[in-house]
Amino acid sequence: MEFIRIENLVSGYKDQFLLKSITLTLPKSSFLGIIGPNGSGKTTLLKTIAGILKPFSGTIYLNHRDLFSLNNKDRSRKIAYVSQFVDNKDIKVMDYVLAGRLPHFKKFQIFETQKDIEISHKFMNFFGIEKFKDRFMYELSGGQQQVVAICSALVQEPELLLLDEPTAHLDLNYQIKILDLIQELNTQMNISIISIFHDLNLASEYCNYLALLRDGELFKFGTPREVLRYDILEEIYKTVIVTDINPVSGNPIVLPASKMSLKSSLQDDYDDRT
Amino acid sequence: MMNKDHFVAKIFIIFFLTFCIISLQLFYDTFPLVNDINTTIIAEIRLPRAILGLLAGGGLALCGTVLQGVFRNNLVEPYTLGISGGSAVGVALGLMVNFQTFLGFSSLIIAGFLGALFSLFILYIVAIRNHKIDTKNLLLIGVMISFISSSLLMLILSISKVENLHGIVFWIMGSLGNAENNINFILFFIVSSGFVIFYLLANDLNAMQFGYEKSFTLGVNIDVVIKITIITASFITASIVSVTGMVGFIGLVVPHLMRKLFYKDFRILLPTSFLGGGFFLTASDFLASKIIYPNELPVGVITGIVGGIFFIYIFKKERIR
Repeated sequence: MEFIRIENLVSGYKDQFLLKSITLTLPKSSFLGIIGPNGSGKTTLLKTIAGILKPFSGTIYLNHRDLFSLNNKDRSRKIAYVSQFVDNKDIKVMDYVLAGRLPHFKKFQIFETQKDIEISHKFMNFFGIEKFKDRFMYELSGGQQQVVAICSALVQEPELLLLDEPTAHLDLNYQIKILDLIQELNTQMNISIISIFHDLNLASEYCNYLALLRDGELFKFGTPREVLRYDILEEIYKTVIVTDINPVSGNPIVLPASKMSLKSSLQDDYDDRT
Repeated sequence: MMNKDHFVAKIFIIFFLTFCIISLQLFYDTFPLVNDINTTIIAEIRLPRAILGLLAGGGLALCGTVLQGVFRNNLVEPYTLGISGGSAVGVALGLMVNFQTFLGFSSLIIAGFLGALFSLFILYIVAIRNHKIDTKNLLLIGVMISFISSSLLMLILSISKVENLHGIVFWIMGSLGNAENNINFILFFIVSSGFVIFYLLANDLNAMQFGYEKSFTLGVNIDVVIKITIITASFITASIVSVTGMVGFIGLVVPHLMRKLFYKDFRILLPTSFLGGGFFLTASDFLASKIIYPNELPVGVITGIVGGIFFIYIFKKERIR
């Protein structure tokens, strides 16, 4: 079942074309990770799907509907976006979450309804942040803030959730906690997810599709097993990369090797042979 | 959701203080003596003046609140953006050619509005690029526009005909002494329509506090909201400036206090700022008219001193973000 189809998408800023003709199709309730080196156009792609950037050409279909024909409000009921940073911290957690209901407000509606409050509580319970609801955002840790931001995006009740490196700047504990929650949303509530990853191992562990970008082009698209191959990654990242299989999950893992260890391992090889 | 801690009590206190200052304004030194002269003074001089204080103070505070929301900077208000200055030049030009006598008072508002639009135009081309607002530049340019406006006012003063000079000087000093019932009526209409417009945008303004990306993906038409608020705020400012002259910093002080007292939710901030602004200007006016009695200080002196100190205080505390 096709959910998203991106066709010949060209996008970027003013006179810089960062994305050159991206084409890909995703089935329903998939979890796509966008990976690639810095400046390869990951954020540009995500922002174009979110509608924040207008594409120069090409189309994106969401459930066979042209995304760019929707107005802001209609789109905000289908797609939610969480950026890397939590911007507004001078606000209580409950209000941050409730703000996500705005797309569902009727014209000239000023106050939220009982339903809006119920949905917010439901998601706050799901994310385990109900206990913080009267705290201010600046009182929470970075990880907790990120959870609140994701929760706020989900009360939008989107079909598609876009995440710009949700776990950057967080410790391993929170990275796993947040990604576990996102995976649960993906599998249980059938929300499709597109997320940028810097950490290839996390991408491999959680995503069922990966899009590897290089210089604004879709270099490789497929399952983690198809994309995370050492020959592909070495070409992209211009460094020696070792791949293996995660003994628990069976997903590929990616390991770098330092210059010094490479030298000594070559030396060992040489010693063995002679 | 509204913050309910002592909410009612705080609202009550603001209402009570406003009520007190208006009573003081109205009945000061006339209280025990009920006679015809006193009733006339109260009904025809003091009541219009008190109403003007409420409307002008409230209106300027409203403008400050929404502009701070749109630009996400707590130092922005009509005065620091140069909107007041631009309006003042427009109105002064109108007074110079004696617009109001043959075109009516409203023509001064239009002249002020055109002046404000001119300031906005300069702000727009200098400080806004690619939807990104460079707040530091915005404030610098705004303050510069204010300076230029002051100089232009001096210029207009010095080239005005003697018979028009009195009107300009009287108005430039910034005072509520020009209060008249029919002008109050126009002002009431403008400020209350502005309030309704701002209140309908309250949720969008709340969402815009999350930054461009998040508010955009929450479905807010950011450009439209910015345009509507700035133009409405300019019109309100122009109409107030054309009556009271330049009264600065009310839009800076009052929203800040209300944010501290209540909570940064525009659905609460708008009405409370309106009341607080009304209180602040009426109180300043009362002080201005009594402090060097029997002479009268321009009310802008009081708000300028209080507001200027406040500006420095906020600047030091929050820095320009």
